[in-house]
Amino acid sequence: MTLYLDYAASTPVDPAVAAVMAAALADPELQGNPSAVHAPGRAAAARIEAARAQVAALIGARPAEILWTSGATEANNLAVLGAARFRASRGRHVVTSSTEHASVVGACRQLEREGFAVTWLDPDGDGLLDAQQVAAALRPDTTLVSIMAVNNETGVVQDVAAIGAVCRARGVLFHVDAVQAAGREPLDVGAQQIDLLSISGHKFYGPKGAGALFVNGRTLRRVEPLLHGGGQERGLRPGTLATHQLVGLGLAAELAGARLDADRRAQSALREALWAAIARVPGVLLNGHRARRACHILNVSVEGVEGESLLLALEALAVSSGAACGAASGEPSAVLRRLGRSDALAQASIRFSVGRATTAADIDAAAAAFVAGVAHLRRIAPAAA
Amino acid sequence: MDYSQVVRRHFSEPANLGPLEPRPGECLCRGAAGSVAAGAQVTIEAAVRESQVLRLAFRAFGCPHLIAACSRATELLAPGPVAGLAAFAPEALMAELGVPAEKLGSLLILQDALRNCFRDWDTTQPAEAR
Repeated sequence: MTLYLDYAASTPVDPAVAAVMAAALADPELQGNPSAVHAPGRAAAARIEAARAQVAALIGARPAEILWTSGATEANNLAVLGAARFRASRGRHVVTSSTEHASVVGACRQLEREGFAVTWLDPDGDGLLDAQQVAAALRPDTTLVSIMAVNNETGVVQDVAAIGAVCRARGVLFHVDAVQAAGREPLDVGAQQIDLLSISGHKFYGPKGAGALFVNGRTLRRVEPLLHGGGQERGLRPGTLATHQLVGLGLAAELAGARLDADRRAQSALREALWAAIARVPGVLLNGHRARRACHILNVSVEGVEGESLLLALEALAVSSGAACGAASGEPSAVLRRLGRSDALAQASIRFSVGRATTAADIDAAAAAFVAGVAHLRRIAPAAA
Repeated sequence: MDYSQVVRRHFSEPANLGPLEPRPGECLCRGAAGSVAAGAQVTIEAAVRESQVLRLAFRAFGCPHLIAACSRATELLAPGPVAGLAAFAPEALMAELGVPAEKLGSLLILQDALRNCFRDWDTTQPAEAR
């Protein structure tokens, strides 16, 4: 039985969420197209609007500011491409960081191909960006800043509110990829002065294939859609809405909000217990800032072992080597390289991430497997390795 | 990445891990190749007497396929003629272990280490000891 410690990659659907989704799928009253004006359509739309309010409440937004998407990749692309393209006549400069998720990096690379200039900010060795770095990068033609709230590999938490204040003062839109933060860190789009914010249901015990983009009221009609078709989601994201998916996403958001404090406390304690247990192994290095980190992620590099062998030695654990999205490439993690780790250390990195079902016994078992796995590989390695 | 059962067995319980202690009448030859920075490093030790490898041991830093290949190669090449170290070619092992083609580079590190071990024997042993 594999011990699941990859909650940053995906969380299991909460049973209550699965139940409400299954019920919505089976409910004969909810089979209409939510865009239709007849009673079955209106019934489905009403459930979707209730879900919109649930998601809005998680981040301190108004329901009308939530757009449904297929997930975070689409939300990030819509935010970055849509906002930058809409403002192209005003300016063609965007600021982001070199440690963003691939969906933001990819969208910014696309902007570069379209002739935009992108400033890629490098975080410090702890993975942190300074709001003053952002301020210094702003130019008269800057229209958008995109910075993630919690790094998906290291769990480092950026000072989103400070960056938001800088952007608001300069009249620049601020997009936050909050995929790892939603349900784990407090989010308030008003207090943090966020204009656009992306979330994904399956990161907080909701369904895969369902996400949302918050677009604040002043920005709503100033984003260019990626897709063209019907007028759903104010024309910004056309396509028939998936009633059961969104009902599930809504309940998952409500539960995440209700459980936020308890989940944070419990998961922080588990993460710290795991770090305390594996930090005793010589040559185990914590990646990212020691304190400014989300509750669920622990990322370490291990000296003297090779990354692929480390993963096989830890086969009893479902963990990630670097980011799940990039691990298939076999390349060392670019995020860890940016933090100053060598290729070898970036490759020999493990991301543990805990969740609601993780127990203290799981942490003990994971630590024991890690200690044994590293010892095994070091017995095999040449003395100087 | 999927691994064959034989790779898994050699990875979990590698045969012939170094270091070797030479016994009376044996000479100990060494070969190394690769580096940690390059992602793969192998050291080979051979206990040789009268041109025969009596025992062979390895240490390896690298992917599971490389570790398994080192382990299996030490089983295949000892006991055996010392010339076998120089003649080792990884292709047959790749088929036996189910090593994907893109891992050939890793196994060439093993080949280099074995050749360097043979070279150590060839250059340091007086002719009468062969």
